[in-house]
Amino acid sequence: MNANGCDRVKELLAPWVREELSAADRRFVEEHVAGCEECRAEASLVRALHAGVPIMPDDLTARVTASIATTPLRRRVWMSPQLAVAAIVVLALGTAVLWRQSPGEGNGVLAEEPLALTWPTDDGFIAGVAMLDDLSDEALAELLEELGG
Amino acid sequence: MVKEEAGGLPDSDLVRLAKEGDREALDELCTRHIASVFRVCRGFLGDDDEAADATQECFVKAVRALPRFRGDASFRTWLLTIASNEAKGVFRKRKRRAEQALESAGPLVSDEPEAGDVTALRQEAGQARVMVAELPDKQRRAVTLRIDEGLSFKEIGEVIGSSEGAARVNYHHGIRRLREMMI
Repeated sequence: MNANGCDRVKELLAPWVREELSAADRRFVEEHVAGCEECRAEASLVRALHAGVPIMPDDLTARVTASIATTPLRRRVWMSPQLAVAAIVVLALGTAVLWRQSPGEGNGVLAEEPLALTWPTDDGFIAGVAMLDDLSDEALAELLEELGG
Repeated sequence: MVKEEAGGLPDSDLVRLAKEGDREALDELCTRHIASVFRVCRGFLGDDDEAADATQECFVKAVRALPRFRGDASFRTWLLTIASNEAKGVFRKRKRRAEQALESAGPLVSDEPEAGDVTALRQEAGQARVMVAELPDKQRRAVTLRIDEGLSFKEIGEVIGSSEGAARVNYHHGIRRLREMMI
């Protein structure tokens, strides 16, 4: 038997013992195994492994379904695009106002710059977005109300 | 809602329903795949009780992660990846605790493939299963996923986090090593 035949047969041994091969492939494997000691030994091992496939305990399905019955199905919450934009604007303005009002020395230079020059509007990242993603519409409305007050 | 047609629904539909909060769809997915999950855990851990615990934990984690499942891989492959990682985690914890590793093989399936010396095959099967537990991590997973679950090498690669070629090599190296151990 040539090496290619052996390689092909070794690839097919697992589906062979699982009885998943077509009639043609099954015949190919069986004829090869009958004449090839190397592949016959490997077929014997794969068959033994398959014969030892573990059996699931009877009560496991009930146990697992009971367990997942109490596991919350968390659904992803999306806010409306308008609400998201409004939240970002309010956060940006609120942060800028607080920044300008802060007496800290570190903010002195930035506080003297016009807002349009200091706020990173074009870098694709705005602080707070990740947090806002997880808020429901109701929670976000409350946050906006707080910030507005 | 799913009850009457659940048996015929593909996994993708059941997943969509489960994501919408349908508990019956979730139960159907569990029933459909639990034996595979158990076999993957059992094949890795070599212990029924540990495998049952890992199976339960795997499903709890899968339910929690379901909203993030995007369907890039099949649900079965995704679930078996969670199972494989869970079993690996349990194995590492066990190793860290330096407990006694791997015991005897579990019960055997009743339908033997061909006539012959059934007792000898059972003994050989038990021995082979014990030897599988001695294989390196990826070889062990590749062998059990291929023989127990019938996964393709591409699917095995997805589960164990390697390429299709590496999965194939791990499987063949595992089989070769088992043959050496069984002599």
